[in-house]
Amino acid sequence: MSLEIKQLTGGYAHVPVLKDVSFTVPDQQVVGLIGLNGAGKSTTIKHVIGLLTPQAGTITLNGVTLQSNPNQYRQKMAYVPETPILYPELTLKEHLDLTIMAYQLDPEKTWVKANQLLKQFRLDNKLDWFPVHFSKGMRQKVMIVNAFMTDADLFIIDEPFTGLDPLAIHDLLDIIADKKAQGAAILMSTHILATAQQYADSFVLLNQGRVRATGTLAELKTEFKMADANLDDIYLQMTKEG
Amino acid sequence: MARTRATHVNQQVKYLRLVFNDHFVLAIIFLLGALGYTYANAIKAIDPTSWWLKPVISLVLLASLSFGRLATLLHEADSVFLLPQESQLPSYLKAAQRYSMWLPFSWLAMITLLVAPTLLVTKTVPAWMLLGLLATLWLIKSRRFSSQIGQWYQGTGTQQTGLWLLIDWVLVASQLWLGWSIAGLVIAAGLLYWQRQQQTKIQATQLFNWLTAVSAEDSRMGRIYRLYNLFTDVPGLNSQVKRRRYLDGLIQWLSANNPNPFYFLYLRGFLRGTEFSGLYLRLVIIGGIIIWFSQIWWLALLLGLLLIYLVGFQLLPVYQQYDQNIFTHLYPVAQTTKLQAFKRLIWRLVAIEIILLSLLILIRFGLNGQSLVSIVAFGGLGYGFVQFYLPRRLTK
Repeated sequence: MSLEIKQLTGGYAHVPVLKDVSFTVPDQQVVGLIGLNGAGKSTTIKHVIGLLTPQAGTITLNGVTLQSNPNQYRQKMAYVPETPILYPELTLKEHLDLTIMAYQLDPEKTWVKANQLLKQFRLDNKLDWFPVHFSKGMRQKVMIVNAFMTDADLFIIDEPFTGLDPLAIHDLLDIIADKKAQGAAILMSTHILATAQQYADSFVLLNQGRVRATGTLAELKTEFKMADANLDDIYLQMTKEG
Repeated sequence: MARTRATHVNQQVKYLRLVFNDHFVLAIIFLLGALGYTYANAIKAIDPTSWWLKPVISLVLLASLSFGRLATLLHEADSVFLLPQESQLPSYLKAAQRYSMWLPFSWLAMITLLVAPTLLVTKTVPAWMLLGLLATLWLIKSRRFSSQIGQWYQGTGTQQTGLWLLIDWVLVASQLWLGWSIAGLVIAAGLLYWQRQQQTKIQATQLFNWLTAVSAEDSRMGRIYRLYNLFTDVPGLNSQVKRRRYLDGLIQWLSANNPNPFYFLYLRGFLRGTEFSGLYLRLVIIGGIIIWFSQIWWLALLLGLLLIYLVGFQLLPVYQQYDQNIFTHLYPVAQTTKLQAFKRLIWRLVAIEIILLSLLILIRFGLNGQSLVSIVAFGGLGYGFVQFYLPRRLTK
């Protein structure tokens, strides 16, 4: 079931950025959200996490909308923003404590997962530091640990690869694969098409606020009538259509 | 120069309007009233023949001379863009010198007026000597500015700060004893003239030290903005965050078993951020001092009430402090938890203030009906502010 977006129209104020957007992110799948700057990726994500209210259409997570049951909806969702967002006054440990508290997670079980992730990202000796002073890549890792230690059903990852070192990118992809195997749905927006092509199960191509095409790479090839194209070629083709 | 100064003045006026908001002006009027009253009483109590009176006054005056810095309004970019025009710098700096004098000159006049009653009460100083005193203070301040500019040129040795401080002190003191006054005035004027000559000489022969001058101006503006930041938000000036490990025990104790994530956040944010904890501490300490020196019980009561309200009111922006962080909007918690957490924090802070003020009242006025009325009123206002005023104000 997982995330279902139906005929979503929305954006800031009264000018809709998104027009009639529909797609689903099923369980056990990684869906790549692809599009140019300004195509509406971030706006779509803001609608999904609930920072913007749809002007028309519905967004349901496991059959629940944000309007009908906000707490249950939010409980099941974890978000990694494009630029790390941290509290200047909290240590790394306290960031994770706060998330455990806010999502009412079991502290013992969650800390086992958190410690594992921290070790993987070599952050386990920095628990008592203020992460705002970390480098961009390390702050990004904090956000990743913070999201992936939860038991959310839907993970939303906005442009996850920029600023991460190659080893960390590899680790992140492993973690995503783990979560997917455990049954989670993952929506990932990115410009790194080579990685997306390799690790995403299907794609949503956004162009000027509309869904141009959805499906697996094979389905996209048929749609664009480009038999031996890669995601890069299809993307360029889409931008040419204007 | 004119344009730089105009933008600068506009900027300052903008901030000053925010600093001197209604509540603050009200508090200041009360504060000045209380201080004036105490001062008037204190003068009556002074023994005019005390030997220490004049030395203390001279030290106060010497200390007040350090207020007010030379404002060059130089920016970091100037050291790149104005570099080719260095030859015009002396006239720019002269204008800056003139402009910078307004504030310390007025300040020194105010201080002179303030010490005048104490000085005149000794009956050893005729009133006209106050003019000589003010003139000397102005001359010394001008000399300091001139010497400061000299310091911003390359190849000038370090100043003998201690020696000059001693000279300034002797000059100030000379104005407090009849018979020395004229000589002191002449020497002060002579020193200013000599310093100006030095300045011209240095400016003609040496290169300007942009780095020192710009960083001096930066730190001067930084101090001013930090002051403004106590009252309003200054863009680009992030209030500092300190780890304050020694408070970890207190945090544990205050937040033990409280499952409210916003309380977790507010408590740490308040204690580790310098902005609001500093504001709180200052207001409570100033409040304590004011209460201690108010000699009438109902004045102490009124001032105490005002201070409790002021502390609560100045802490209101803490509520929105984390609204910029989108995660606070994503947490699966009820909307009301944020307000509950905020009320909990403010109530604790206001309660600590009430307890302190009440203790001061009890020590000062003793345990009697009037003190009890004050304490009950403090508690009532604090409780009412947190329970009724806060929610209404914040959910508006």
